[in-house]
Amino acid sequence: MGVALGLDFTLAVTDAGVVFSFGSSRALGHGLSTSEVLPRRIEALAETGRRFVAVAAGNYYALALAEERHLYEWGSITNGHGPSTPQLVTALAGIGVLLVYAQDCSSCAVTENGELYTWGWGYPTSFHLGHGDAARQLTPKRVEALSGVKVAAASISHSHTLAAGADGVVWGFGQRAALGLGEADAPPGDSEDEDSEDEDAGCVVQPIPIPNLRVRTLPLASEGWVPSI
Amino acid sequence: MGFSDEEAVEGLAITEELRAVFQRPAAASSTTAVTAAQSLEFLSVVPPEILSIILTQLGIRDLACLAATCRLLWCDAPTPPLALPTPGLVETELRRRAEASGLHIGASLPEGALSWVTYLMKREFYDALRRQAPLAAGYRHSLCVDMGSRLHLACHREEIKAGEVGEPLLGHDWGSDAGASTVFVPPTLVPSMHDTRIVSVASGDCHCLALSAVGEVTRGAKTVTACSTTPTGARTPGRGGSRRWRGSRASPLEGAIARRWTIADASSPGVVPRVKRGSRPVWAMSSIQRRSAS
Repeated sequence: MGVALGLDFTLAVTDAGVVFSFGSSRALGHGLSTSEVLPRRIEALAETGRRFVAVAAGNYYALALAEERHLYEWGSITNGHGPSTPQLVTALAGIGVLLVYAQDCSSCAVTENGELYTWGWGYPTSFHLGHGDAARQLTPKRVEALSGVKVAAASISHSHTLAAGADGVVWGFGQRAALGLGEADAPPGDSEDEDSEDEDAGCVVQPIPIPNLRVRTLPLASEGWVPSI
Repeated sequence: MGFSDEEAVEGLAITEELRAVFQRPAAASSTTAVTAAQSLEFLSVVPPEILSIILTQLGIRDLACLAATCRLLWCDAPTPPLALPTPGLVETELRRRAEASGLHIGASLPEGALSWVTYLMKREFYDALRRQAPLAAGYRHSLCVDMGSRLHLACHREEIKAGEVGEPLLGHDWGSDAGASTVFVPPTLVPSMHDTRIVSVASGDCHCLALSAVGEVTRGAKTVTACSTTPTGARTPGRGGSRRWRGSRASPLEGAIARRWTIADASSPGVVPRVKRGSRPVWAMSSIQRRSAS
């Protein structure tokens, strides 16, 4: 049903909702085993009795989303010591997660209420998590600046984040370079550019809409479209 | 019954639409109130073959509503007045889809919230969710698919230099006369993909993928690394021809991408499955490549 790739490992979730992993990483989810040549079922996830519908993987960690919309995480965002078997993400407990995405050391999740959560770390000054600072965020935290937007799709890299609202408007924050927002729109020294002296030539701290662009998103916010659990 | 009144009304509305298509004078001239018996009577005049074709075009949600309504109608009718095939056409269609999804169904249909119809509806929802990828954030570039299914690229100008990620998409001299004064390329419609309907995008550090509605994968990649090898069936704009992925049928296909690895797969049946009975989803790993130097 889906695949995800970490730095040296691969995750796959089958149509039946079972998660497999293989490769060479501490984020395989098999406990002590850090190397699997063939896909191996992640027992800790199987023991939860839940069906899994999506997987995502960063460099050294992995995420699995259950049909009941609980999120499990294992490995380490910082490549330090992290759980070697899947753990329920308590910061998102009770919040229905619909979409999850991870790349490098950053992750984002979209909930059934249209909220965007981000966590991880990236370039020291990239502000790409959208929390108003450039600090590491090791547990999911809601992007408050997008509280007025019903988020229906999102993507994150280690330098910037894109999020699309139900109306199709794309919001971006993080490095200007990757967003394609040049000096013409906001010259360095702009009030939002708190680190304009940085060689990366500025970041977008507060989410701003990308001009002249609308994307097609699923009607996640509309009543009745999202099935009940 | 696992369906709300609202859904039952929706089912009735669908039946009404079918009625309008195959209107019969006798039915039209009768009372304005639509009774259950009339609806059933109407269904009986539509040739089963045509009904089957119509049913294949309906979404699972509509089908489920129709299934619920039909059963309600059967309950209401004093006697089953019609020679409907057993099992019914709706049930047959639902069973076909369940089997296409690899789901075994018992001889009798379970009811309620945990019934396989509900399961199929959920399944369709998650399929749609999984397929949606209108945004991709990469290293120094962003890909977006707009309302018209066209591909937009925004990036640092360095990314469209010769040999960089954006170069195969925009060309290294893109905007050299107009916008060269800016360091950044604003969101730009990718000219070479202008007539291609894009459904999904993915991005990594050194490459990006775009999936078209007919199953073609287009890739922008750095040429200085091993990533430049073109995977089978994929095309790089301006370099070599294009090829459809799996025959003429639009095959849902998704690209997953990571920092150093790339994997593209052709996967399971679409939201409205059109696979043959008994066939299973196919995972075709087209390429796994590793950057030569990091």
